[in-house]
Amino acid sequence: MKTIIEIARVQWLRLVYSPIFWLLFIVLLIQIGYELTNNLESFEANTRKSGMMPGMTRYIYTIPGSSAGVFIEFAKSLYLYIPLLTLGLFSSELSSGSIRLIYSSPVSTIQLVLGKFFPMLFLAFLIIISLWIAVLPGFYIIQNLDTSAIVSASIGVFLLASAYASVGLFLSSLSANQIVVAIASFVVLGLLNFIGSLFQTVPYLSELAFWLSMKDRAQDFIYGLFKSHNLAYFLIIQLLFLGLTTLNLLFYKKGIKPANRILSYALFIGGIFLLGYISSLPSFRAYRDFTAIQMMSISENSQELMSELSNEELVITSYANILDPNVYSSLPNMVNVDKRRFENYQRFKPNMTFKYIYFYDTISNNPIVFKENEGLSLHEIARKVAGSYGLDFEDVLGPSEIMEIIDLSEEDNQYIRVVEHNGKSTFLRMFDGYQHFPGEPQISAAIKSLLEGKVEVAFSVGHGERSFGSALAEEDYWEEFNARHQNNLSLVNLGFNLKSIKPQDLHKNEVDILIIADPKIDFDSLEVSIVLDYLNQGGNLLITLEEDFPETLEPVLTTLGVKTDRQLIEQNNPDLDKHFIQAQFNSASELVPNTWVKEYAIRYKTPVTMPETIGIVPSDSIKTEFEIHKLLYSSQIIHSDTVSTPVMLMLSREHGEGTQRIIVAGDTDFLSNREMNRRNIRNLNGRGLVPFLFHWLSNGEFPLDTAPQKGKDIGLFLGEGEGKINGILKLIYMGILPGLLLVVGSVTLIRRKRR
Amino acid sequence: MSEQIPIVSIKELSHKYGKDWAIQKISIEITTTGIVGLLGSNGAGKSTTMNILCGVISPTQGSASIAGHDLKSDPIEAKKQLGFLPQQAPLHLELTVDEYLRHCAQLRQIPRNKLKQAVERAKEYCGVAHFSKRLIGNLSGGYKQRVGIAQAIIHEPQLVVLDEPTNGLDPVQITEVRSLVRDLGKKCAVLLSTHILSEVQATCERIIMIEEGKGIFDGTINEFNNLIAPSKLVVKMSSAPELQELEAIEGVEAAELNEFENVMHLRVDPNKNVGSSIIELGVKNGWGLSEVHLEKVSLDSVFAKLSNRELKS
Repeated sequence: MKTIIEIARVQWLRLVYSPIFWLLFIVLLIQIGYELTNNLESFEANTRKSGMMPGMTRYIYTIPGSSAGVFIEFAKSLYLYIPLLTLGLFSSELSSGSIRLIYSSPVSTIQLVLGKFFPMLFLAFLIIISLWIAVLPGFYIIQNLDTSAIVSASIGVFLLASAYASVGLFLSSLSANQIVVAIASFVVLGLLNFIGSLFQTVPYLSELAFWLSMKDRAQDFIYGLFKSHNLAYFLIIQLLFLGLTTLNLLFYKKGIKPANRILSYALFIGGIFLLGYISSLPSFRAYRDFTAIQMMSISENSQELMSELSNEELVITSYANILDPNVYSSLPNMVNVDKRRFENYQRFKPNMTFKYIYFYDTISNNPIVFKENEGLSLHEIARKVAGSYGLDFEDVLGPSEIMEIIDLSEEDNQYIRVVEHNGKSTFLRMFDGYQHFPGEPQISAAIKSLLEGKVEVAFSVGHGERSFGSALAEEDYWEEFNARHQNNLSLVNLGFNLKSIKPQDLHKNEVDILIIADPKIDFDSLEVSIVLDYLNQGGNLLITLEEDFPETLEPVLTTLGVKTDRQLIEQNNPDLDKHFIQAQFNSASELVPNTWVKEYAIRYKTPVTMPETIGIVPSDSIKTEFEIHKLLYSSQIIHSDTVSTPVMLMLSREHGEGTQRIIVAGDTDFLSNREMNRRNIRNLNGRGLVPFLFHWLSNGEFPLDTAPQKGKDIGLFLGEGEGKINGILKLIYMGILPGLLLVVGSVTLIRRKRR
Repeated sequence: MSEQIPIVSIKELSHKYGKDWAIQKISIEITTTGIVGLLGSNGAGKSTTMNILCGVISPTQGSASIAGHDLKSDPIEAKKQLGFLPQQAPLHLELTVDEYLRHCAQLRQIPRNKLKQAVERAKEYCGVAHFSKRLIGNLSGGYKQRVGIAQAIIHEPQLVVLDEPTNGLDPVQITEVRSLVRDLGKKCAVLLSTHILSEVQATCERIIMIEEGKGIFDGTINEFNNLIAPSKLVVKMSSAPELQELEAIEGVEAAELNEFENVMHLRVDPNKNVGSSIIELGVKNGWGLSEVHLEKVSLDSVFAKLSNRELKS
């Protein structure tokens, strides 16, 4: 060890007495200072505008974005720094011949390699110290700074820097020409980041190339998530390149035959890859979320779900229609990337299996492919498309073949996944538009539905009610209920099963929530009695009404203890139609969980738009068991007095072993396709209002609450120094500190040179 | 009585680069202190032999040991008894003399409590003590070479290998370094690789010659000098006879007058005692004989003969 330390000490001295060392640290400090002050400036403005923001640690230091975090941004440019410091490690000694001093000394090759590598680790440590100089102001300007997340980010940058250094060390041992080494370093580091996208269609090699890829490995650490296989990767990569350096130097000494050299390298690299393979097996993986609010993990609810799954494997089969424009994410060259989308789940359920089945069939979401290939048969188009993707058409199932496996016609034959466990299965859809992949709400909903079944939502039909089936009818309830591939927040993607039902077919055991939406025709007495029976048995109900709703439904309202005067509410905003209501949330709606929708509605007073609505109020004359909450209300002027009238009531009562929940709304259109897509007036309608209401209606079963915890690290806490602090920090980080380093470095080097 | 362990023992040493043998079956043994010259023309295999002996490369076949420690199986112990100054001194120009020598001492595993003493001793010995704080890069070529020698001897090894130590130095520096090497030879075994014959003459007691990868000579400097019997007689006379008269003497093959030096050069049969005949006839015929001696054979001639090459002059 003494010898290693001695070699390291002298290597460090040589590094410190080179101008490049000081120059790089000056540039590094300026870069860090720039990133920090740039972020602070941006968030300082946001804080003034929107108040204190939670999660500031991540915004300022760790996550990417328009003002990317200091650590993540610095990590991106690290490959520019390290090779400049490593290129001379061996090559300068090889070119000057000073390597012979070591060779003729009682020093082993491993001691030599480690002695050269350790200063690089110290250098990586110094880089972390430099980054922490940028963290110091965070303790002042961010309340409850998430230090553990920053520690994780520091580990990530350290591991990345040391891995880069090991690559640089190896390349430095290959040539005495430092320019060649520098160029080779940039090329190899680039390749290591890029290799994950190479050979992805070649069996086995794809796994190997994907494992070798350095891309995203440090990122996980920087975001705050420790993954044992990422740590193992960095250690193994360092071992690989240190080992290759050792072998290279040994072979230089021994003049071994090329065939034997190749065999030795192959055996060593093979052993390393085997180690990497073992360390990355799901069952050997360990995780630790370093963020204070467990931001990098699935929610506790989702974790609980995963723990409830049996030991049987969870199989996710992707049925990829190659004519679907979104299929690219499941093509063979993207399969490894695709699997990573489920890593946060696999973390809690290692035995997950992923299957990919390619097929072709008619599809409606890609008219271009059919238009461009007019005159060709479906088979010919599919063959052409398969060729363009580099797919072997033999591996692509035809319409009849896929039909033998699964019928996807109701899903428009679109690219879809099927999640299976313990003999049960459910769809996990892909989505058009921005949110292409299912997120935690959808995945957890699918898994929960495998465990507990879906919530059965029945739309009453037969009386001119609104339907969930049509995207084209503006008044229908399709957008937030049944838009399978168009809206990830549609109920159908969040654990609900939709069906139509005639009241006479209504059975409490088969329906969890009944929807009676805008009935136009009278219910007959039998139907009314069935609905009342359903309510008496504790059935949940959403009933949305217009001023002309059938008289025969009055008994239902009476049973619930509510009433309406059937008068359209008028509002006094002259810019809007007098009946166009912007209903406000009742801030005292304690029954409603504190989801972001509620916060959005109350904090920013975002209304629910209702083109025409009648007031729904508790009936004073009827005694009811229901506890009634006014969720939405509208202000109207009656006889020059401003009066708040409820337009939506939430009713609940204990029934049997559970709670019965009912929502009565004085408008039917607020859930329609038209209102969900309204963009001319700020509203809550299309922003998760339906999942919010149905979460309550389903007793919190679905959609699963997967919202992350709120961060306590709020800021910017600028206090009296507001506006000035950033200026001071700019001066310190981009002026004083680099200047100081310039002076110290210059004096050191000049004094040294004069000796 | 136990057998003395040789300082250097090289047995049947062979090494090849690719398909070509650089050296083949070279055997050398050095048992005592003193300076051994390793001679050979460029590409003869000197550097390969030295690189193997110094652990820079491993031999393809054969073995080499230093002070009884095999370089292959026990390289660490073997190298503790080795000091090496390659042709290009292995210096870190950005370090001071003290920093560098301290580093070398540490690498040679000198105990911490003896470190300072070893550095001072090496500096004193090599005459660089007054440059202790000086950057090596700022030293002249001669002093750099002295620092190079200092690193090679800092741990007082039994064997010091010097590869053309005067290469690139000016005449004064060459004299200084040779003097240093001669002193060194009194303390330890020095293997001096060179192709400068005058350096060998000036410093070495024993010569090992390698040519085309094979050892072709191993002996003392005198043995080397006498390897070729002298064949020229130099005769100085005040009234010299005609050349034909001299050529008529038995054993004289040719005579030549060097007008510049005013001497006769006679090519003679080394097996005949021509000198006595010349003296006898000179006295008898009154040639005014003032000097008769055998012309010394130059090392260059020996070198050329051993390496199967003709001298140009």
